[in-house]
Amino acid sequence: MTDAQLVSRSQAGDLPAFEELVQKYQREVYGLACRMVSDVEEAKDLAQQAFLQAFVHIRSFRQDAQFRTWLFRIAINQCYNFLKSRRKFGDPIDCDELNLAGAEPSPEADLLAQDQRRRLYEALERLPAKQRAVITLKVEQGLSYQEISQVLGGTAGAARVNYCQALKTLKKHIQTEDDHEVAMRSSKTVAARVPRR
Amino acid sequence: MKWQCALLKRWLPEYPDGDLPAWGKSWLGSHVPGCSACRQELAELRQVIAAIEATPVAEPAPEFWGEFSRDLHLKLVQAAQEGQAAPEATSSRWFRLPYLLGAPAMAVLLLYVAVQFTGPGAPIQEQAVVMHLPAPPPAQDQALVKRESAAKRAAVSRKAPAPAAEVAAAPALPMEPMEQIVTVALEDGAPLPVEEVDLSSWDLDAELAGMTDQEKHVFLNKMHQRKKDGSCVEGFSFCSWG
Ligand SMILES: [Zn+2]
Repeated sequence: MTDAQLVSRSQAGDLPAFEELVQKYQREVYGLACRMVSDVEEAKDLAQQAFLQAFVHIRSFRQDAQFRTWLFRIAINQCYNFLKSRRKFGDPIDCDELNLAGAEPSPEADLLAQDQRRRLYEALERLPAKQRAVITLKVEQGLSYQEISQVLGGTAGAARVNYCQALKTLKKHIQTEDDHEVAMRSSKTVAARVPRR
Repeated sequence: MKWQCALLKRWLPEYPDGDLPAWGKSWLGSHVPGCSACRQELAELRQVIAAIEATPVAEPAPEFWGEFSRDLHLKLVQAAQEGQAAPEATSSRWFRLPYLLGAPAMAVLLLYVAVQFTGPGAPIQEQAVVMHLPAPPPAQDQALVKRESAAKRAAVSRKAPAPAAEVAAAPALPMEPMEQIVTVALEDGAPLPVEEVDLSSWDLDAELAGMTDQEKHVFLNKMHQRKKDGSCVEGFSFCSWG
């Protein structure tokens, strides 16, 4: 069934239809939240909150838009709210949780992977939230600038500026920590995902 | 930094075949291969992208998604029982407003928007910049028409609320700096034939922010010159860039 059909059914109160949409997008929404807040437990909560909000407001969704970008927008807003409250209450950001979660004693390649992961997450952490959002929407979710502008507001051109700026800032952060050595190293072995727990 | 580099650098990640209009691709395609600075910058940006792609969010443990679905299912059932699903009418007040006020109010609203974006007192960021090489009058008219339509597009895109803007739990996102609409011609001696280029969404402030003082100086002088010799036709104050 297409998104449009599933949304129509959901709007008519069909919960299983909505849960099919959840199944379809839960990984993307969770991944987005992970990138935004760098905390797997919070990301799980935020992803659930995003789906819950989408469900509650499903009738306000107009079919001329894409459900996926609408959902991403809700998820990003949940993350913004979370980041705002975390800033207010001063929780420290723990990037180790994402980087090293479940990592087992590992051979050298995995250590390298962990190191690269840590550097990248730290660099991402230091980006403004909006630039972090643009990076993940563009690189990981494959959205066009037009779609990104629908998620984040603003124009497609603004999304393009944010994306380019974010790449440059990341480059600077990574290189600074790097002393021109590790992080930018070509990394075929690094792509392996580290299972958690 | 050559001023073409300054204009093109934001599109570099899209080289050679990314999310750009055809003319943008062809401009990039004619510039990048011959410009070592842009090639260097591009290589570094690609390394960053590769690093992100090589470092995906860790896949959660196998039981994670089962748990996720069960938890969420309970929340959804509860929301459904509490009848939280929003009635359609509450969602679209922005779109209903014109209907409530009727056509006259809509006309006033449109007039307001038009004045806002084209009037003499419009904030500098919202004005359009047009500069082009000395050209016969028809081309100039064309540029103006183009500018107007670009300004209209911009006005529409800024005023149209995004789909989920009304979601109660979704606060307004941080404001984006307004972007300039720029129509320029390619520089003398550029590899492409001289043509007008609609650089809608070109953010001058962002460009200038990325330059050193000296580059900024050269760049602004160049635009000043074009303004003086009549090749930049739109009145545009440069003082806001200082
Ligand atoms: Zn160049």
